[in-house]
Amino acid sequence: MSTTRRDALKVLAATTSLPFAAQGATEPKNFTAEEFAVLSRLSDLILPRTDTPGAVDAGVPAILDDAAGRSPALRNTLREGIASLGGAKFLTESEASQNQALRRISGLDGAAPTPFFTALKNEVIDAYYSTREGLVAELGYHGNVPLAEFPGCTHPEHQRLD
Amino acid sequence: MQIRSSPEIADVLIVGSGAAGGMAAWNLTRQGVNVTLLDAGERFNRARFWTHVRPWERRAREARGLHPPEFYLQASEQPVLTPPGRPFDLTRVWGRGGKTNVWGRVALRYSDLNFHEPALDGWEIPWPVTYAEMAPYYDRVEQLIGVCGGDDDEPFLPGSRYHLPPPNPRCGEYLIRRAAHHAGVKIVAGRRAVVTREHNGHGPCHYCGACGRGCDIAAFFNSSDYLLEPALATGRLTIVDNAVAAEILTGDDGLASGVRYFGRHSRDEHTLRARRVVVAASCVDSTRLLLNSRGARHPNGIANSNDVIGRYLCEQIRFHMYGFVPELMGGPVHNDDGISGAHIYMPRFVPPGGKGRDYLRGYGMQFWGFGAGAGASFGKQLPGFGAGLKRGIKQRYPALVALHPYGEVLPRADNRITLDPVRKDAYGIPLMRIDYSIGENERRMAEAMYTTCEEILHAAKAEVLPYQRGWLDVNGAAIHEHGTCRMGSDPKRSALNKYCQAHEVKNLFVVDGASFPTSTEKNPTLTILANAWRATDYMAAEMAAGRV
Repeated sequence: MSTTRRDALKVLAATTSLPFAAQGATEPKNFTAEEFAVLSRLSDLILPRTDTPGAVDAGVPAILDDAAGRSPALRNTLREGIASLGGAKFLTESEASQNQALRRISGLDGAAPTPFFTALKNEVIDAYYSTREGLVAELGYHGNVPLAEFPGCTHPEHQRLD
Repeated sequence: MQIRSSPEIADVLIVGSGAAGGMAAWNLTRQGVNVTLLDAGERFNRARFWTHVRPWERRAREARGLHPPEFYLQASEQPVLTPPGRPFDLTRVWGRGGKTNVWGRVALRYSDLNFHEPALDGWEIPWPVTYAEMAPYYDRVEQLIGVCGGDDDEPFLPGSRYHLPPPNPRCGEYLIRRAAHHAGVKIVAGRRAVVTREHNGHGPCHYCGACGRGCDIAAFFNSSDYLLEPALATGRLTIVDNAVAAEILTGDDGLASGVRYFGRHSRDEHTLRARRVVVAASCVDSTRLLLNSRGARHPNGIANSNDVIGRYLCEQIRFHMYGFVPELMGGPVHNDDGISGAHIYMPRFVPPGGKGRDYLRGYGMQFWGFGAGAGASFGKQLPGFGAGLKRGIKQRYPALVALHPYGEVLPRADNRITLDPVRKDAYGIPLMRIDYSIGENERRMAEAMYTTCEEILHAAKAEVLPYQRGWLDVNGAAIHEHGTCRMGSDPKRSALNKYCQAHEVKNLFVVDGASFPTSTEKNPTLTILANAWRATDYMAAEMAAGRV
């Protein structure tokens, strides 16, 4: 009835880490190739590959490209933010240095997160957890399917009133 | 533009096909009355609903240029004017069945405490009906449409003998029920118009959890399948689709004589004569229609010489609090879809002895969105990024609980709908202005609502997502508008008598939520159905007696 996590991972093994063009898509429509490469890297820094697919594995950058096409304000925020991180130069930095740069704008160091970080993180989360990789393989969602019965809670320890 | 006038005279002309208009059409046709109904849209094609389309499939379909039926009326087609800084988020569905195609399905009985509260606290007018008068109609509606629920019977939530079996709560709902119990707050089974077993040829629900996209098998009440189709089967109902009502016409005697309307797409103007008119276009659109019906005898809008229609707009305040219960953190992920939305409900909470109650009326609470859903937007409110964020989201995903209290907004004369003197829609119908704000009573009630939520989440030992005390959803978000054409026993202070018949125009009835004198803390659709059934029973009897 539902895809098991192992099945999903098997399917995904074939598609992980392929660059944008190899996933069947064409050029980004709302970013330059350089911007898109930085956006992809940032997406993976926010939700990286672990024992499950990461943001790039799940095709998040292409979803962000589409979202930017629907919202000029989002597109501007993302492009300006990418520029503020040094553009393509960001890709040549070490992973530690990239994480440090993201940390500075994330709010973790006390200051409020920047509008760019907030927009990026929100978009990456919305996109990733709407993909089969994010929802099924990572979270284990198996809903929106017809059931003959709905079991609900089957745990007596949850159902006590006192 | 050509004006087309039909030579026929309808026995009864109904405007609107949602819960109220559908009920009026169903109840009148089954009693032998010939009815013509104007609907501003058309029938939604159930075969084209995207009920079982999951998020990634939706994106793939959209990339191919596909779209499901659009339920919601776009503001660009019918703008609503509001003062700067005071938005009103109006939700409208034009099409057969109206908002019942996508409604939240919460089906609650009002009680005498609701009906009589204004008489006790002195704020505006009480309902002109008692629970004893309404109860038989609640019974009949529940038997007709199918409402699942428990056997509880509360002061503010009268019980029913006709509930279908309620779905078992999810883990988080049981845990919140226990926490609420510890906090002194009673939680009961939710009551929802979902057929949990085959009922009158509908359903049963298959628990796919996607009711908000429209049900592919009509396993929850919608006016089109449950009322309009049976009414059509009598042969006594004629539906005019894509008919945008502009004005109720009146004769020299001041009585309603028909309706002027426009083809939604053709923009052709039509008139249709009728012996009686029933208005059921939803609170706000009905009000616009009544105010725009300014015949020689009705310079202030039909049946509105006392300037009541358009005033006393009242809705509900609400907000949302989210948390994660420790028992479910990092635990197994279940299919938490159920009947989509809450399986539990908090009836009006009254603190023991009225302690700390410094406001009139009250609030209830819904609990939709528990557990594993088709997304994880709560993750935006967790700090940071990286593998730690990803782990934190996964750990919390099955443990999500969500509290959504709804509080009554008092009716006030200055909260009103008017017609703009200048701006018009594509048909030349004046645009409406909604001038609406909440007051001190609602702000005090919101404080109590926050306190109740905090006490429940504290008792649950929940990790609570950041929130700002006092924050409220945008006005209109509850989609429970009332009050602008209210019933009452005093003709000076109300527009309708207790049977939704206009005091000033005896062949005009307004049977939707506009007729409610108060918004109460509850979801209104069950009461709209019961009230429209009651009103049209009276109307049919008056017709049979030759009085209307």
